[in-house]
Amino acid sequence: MARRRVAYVLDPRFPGGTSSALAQELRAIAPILRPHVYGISSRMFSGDRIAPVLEEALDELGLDLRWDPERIAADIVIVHNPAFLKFQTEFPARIIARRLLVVTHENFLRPGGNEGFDVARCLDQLDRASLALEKTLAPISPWNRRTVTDWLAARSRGPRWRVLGQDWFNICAFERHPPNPAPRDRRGRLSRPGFEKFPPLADLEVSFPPEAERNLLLGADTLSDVAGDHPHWEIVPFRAMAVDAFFAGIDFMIYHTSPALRESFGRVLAEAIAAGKLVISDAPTAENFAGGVVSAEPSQVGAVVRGFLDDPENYRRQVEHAQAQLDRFSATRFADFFAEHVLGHKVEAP
Amino acid sequence: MILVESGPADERAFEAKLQFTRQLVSCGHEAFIDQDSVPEALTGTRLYDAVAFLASADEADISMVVVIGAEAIDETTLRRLRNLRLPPDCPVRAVGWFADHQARIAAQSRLAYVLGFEPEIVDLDDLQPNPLRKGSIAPLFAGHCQPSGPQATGAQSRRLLLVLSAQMLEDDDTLADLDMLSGLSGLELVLLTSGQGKELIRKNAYPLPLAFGFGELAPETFAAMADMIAVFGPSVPGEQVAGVCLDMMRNGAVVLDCTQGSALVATGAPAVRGPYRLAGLLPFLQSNILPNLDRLGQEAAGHAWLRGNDFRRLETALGLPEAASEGRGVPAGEAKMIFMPTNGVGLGHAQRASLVAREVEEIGADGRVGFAAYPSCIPLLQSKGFDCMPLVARSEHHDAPNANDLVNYLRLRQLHRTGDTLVFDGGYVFDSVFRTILEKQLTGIWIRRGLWQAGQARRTPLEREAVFRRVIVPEEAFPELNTDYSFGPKVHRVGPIVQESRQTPNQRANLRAALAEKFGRPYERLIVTMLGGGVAADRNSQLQTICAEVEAHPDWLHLMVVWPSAKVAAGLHGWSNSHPVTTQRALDLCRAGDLMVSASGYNSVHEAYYHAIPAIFIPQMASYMDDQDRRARAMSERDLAVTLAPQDLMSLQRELVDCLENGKAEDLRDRLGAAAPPERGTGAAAELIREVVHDER
Repeated sequence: MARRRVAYVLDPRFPGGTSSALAQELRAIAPILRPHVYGISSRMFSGDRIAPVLEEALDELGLDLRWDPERIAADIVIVHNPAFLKFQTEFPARIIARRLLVVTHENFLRPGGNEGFDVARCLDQLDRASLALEKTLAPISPWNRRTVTDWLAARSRGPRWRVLGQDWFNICAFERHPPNPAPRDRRGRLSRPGFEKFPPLADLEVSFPPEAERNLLLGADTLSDVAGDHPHWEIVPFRAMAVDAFFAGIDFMIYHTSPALRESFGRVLAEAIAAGKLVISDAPTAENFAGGVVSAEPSQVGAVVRGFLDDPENYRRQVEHAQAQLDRFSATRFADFFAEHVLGHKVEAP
Repeated sequence: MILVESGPADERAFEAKLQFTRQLVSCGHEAFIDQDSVPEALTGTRLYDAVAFLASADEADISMVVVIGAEAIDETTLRRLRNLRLPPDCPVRAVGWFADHQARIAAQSRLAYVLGFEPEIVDLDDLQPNPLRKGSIAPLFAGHCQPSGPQATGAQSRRLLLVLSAQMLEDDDTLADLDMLSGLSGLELVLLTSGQGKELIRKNAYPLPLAFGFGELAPETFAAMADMIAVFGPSVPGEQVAGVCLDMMRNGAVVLDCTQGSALVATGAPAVRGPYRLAGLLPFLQSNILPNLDRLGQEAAGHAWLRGNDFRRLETALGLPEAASEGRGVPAGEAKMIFMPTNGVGLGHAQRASLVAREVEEIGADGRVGFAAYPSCIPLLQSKGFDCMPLVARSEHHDAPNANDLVNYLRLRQLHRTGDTLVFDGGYVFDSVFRTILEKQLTGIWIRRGLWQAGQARRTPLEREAVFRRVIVPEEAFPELNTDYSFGPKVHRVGPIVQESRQTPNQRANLRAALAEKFGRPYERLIVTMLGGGVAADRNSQLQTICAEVEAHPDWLHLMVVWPSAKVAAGLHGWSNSHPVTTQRALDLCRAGDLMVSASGYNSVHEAYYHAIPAIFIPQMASYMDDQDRRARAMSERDLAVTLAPQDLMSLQRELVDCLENGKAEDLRDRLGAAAPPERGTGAAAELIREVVHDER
């Protein structure tokens, strides 16, 4: 069978998880194919600065990034994170493909059922701009899948999109570290500084109480105004501390977001697991990690932490179990997934 | 209570919050702004606008949060909302002009993230298809509170609000046109312009009309002032002026759209297309507007466009409960007449105001007479049987120079209801007084004594004269001291307002005997000094000089009258026949004495003159005071008193001896007894007040 022509399309200026995921993905599929990569300068970002992590991968793989083509033609066209189209009404290129796959990095719906962004506007642009035999949405996690299918179910009109049966998961190829054999009550959280990443103050207060030995909040820039009321919180601005140093300083990663947001995957939790930390989060986010993340509401965090502190062996078992679960998100697994569900058959590396 | 927040946290957004909060309150809702959101740049008169609507969001019982300008929410606002820790059952409404569905989602999400629950979006695009000004932060709807018509002009006179930019005011032709308009009989002009425009007017030689900055008063206050508004310039200059226009349409006033782009008419609003140039306004008014004013106003008030921009539409969209009561209009109950004397060095203003108030009561005032007064004046006023609401005196311990007046403004607002009367006795019309009169539509009366010092700034006090229905000028007893600072039918001179005293020779003898007993020593000569409270000038050395001289005369007794706010130097307590005293019967004390040594304030000089009290005057001449030197010299040039400069301490010693040992005081008393001072003006002042209040009702 002739090799398939595969084209990736995204706005390469995405600063966060989308670019990181794509960088890992390009490396994972490099042994089986050499994709074309197209950059769309959407109205979501300004300037021409490609996300460094993506730029690094492109350089490493010798792939060219072609900006703003008039036409994208390939057997398979993969659009990563359609949310970059939310501030415009027209997709600026024509897409001709057998399969158009749209990887839905962002949840279509927020908890409670309100839209996370103007999904129809983004998908309709792609639909109008593309001629394809099959148009498919590719969710990245169980929770993300639920928001996609719920959104489609609620939509009475518009083009019909298929949904890929398997999750287009994030590759988690982080360096592994063993768990601390003598864990202490050193808690931390790490995220970008957006308000959406933080639970209500009352929840933060119970998750990071004065009696903990350490409460390290990296990326908590938006909490600077309440720092005076919480002297037991070490509030460190985003990127003001190396991630390695952050993980070296904690034993428990406690991660809850605003009740109005749910992570579509939770890449930072995978990173914490790889670093040998015990991770606690809300139930739906924990679900993405199949037992690798301990599910607890903020009010339950204290008891959970105490339980593991009282039983370091259990702490070790939980972290090791979580790390084993990360194997489900390996580059090898992704290559297999890609061959089977994207290319349609397994392809041996040349 | 409804907390009003705004997406942006800048000064412009704060003004919008204020405008919207005010409208909510005026339509009968309980609404407030978080006091922590006041921008640092908001100072001076703008604080008065805000202060009545500020509260601590941490302490308030918040029933709803309305976020206006929600299409552009910045981080400061998000932090504030997060820190409120609102319960999920507290309704939060996000009001704004959302460009598209994504903009709505973005606003809703951003708020939901910090609240932890979903707000409800109110899209003004859906609610207001033909707004007066699209994109405004403050929702611009015509309020439904009881319309209130123009005040303070009387039926024969019409008032026109004229909206002009600073750029227009820089043009000499504009000023000349304004001067012509000002000359139109039966038309009173009020200018509405930018801060820069106001400064231009102040610097101008023309006697131009009362001018306000665009945001200096609430839109509804401006709207209530006038029968017409004419808006000139390229477009409507800001949300506040748009708000004034809306309120005026609702009130049945005439809105003239003289903008180059026909900004008002183009929206379908019931405005009348007027001339672009100011020069065309006078004939336009005379031929088209003034003859049809009432009909045009009625048509505007009933126009379909207003119904589409009715505040009730927004109330419904917000899910606001039915307002418990209308915020404006004349509430039931007895009308009040409140006298407010300023606090001078002594108690002169309070004394004078109390004389007039008593007279007003005696001739039969409509309503209850009471006082709002500074603490130093309260014992005096209460001793005369008046109810007093305490005001706060200025203090160096306050954060800002006008901090006390801000509190007084709140108290005066609370005290007064629409239609009450405020009689102010003072030289400088405080912002609190000026605003309360306008906002509560009070009948304002100003008792303003003259004899200002040469070169004293007069423009601001006189500008504020416009809010008073009547200005009563108590004359000085000597003609050369009377100067007219303003003219017109509202300004009335009355004779000197001087306290009566019915002290008989017997009572005088009894008082002198009582003093001898109180201070434990017989005496032949009684000196009463009233040299002020040390506020305007330090008179310690003069008092020490007098005390030293008195000490050399065992048969003299010296009583130093100390005003309630005065500081008494420790050294004044050590003399054997000089004593500091406090009294509310200073006049009786002076009449019982043989010599008064006093500053030459209005009351002291006139009491000396009318009650034949021999006196040595030592004028106080602080920059903010009246011309005490001229007043004292008017007496001494007639040989009715002695005037000494403060530094003439040797002369002071000599004059004391001359007066009390060499018969000079008795000579003065004889000459004073033979003098014929002009008739008192207390009764005339009271009658002027009664008359204007009666006319109002």
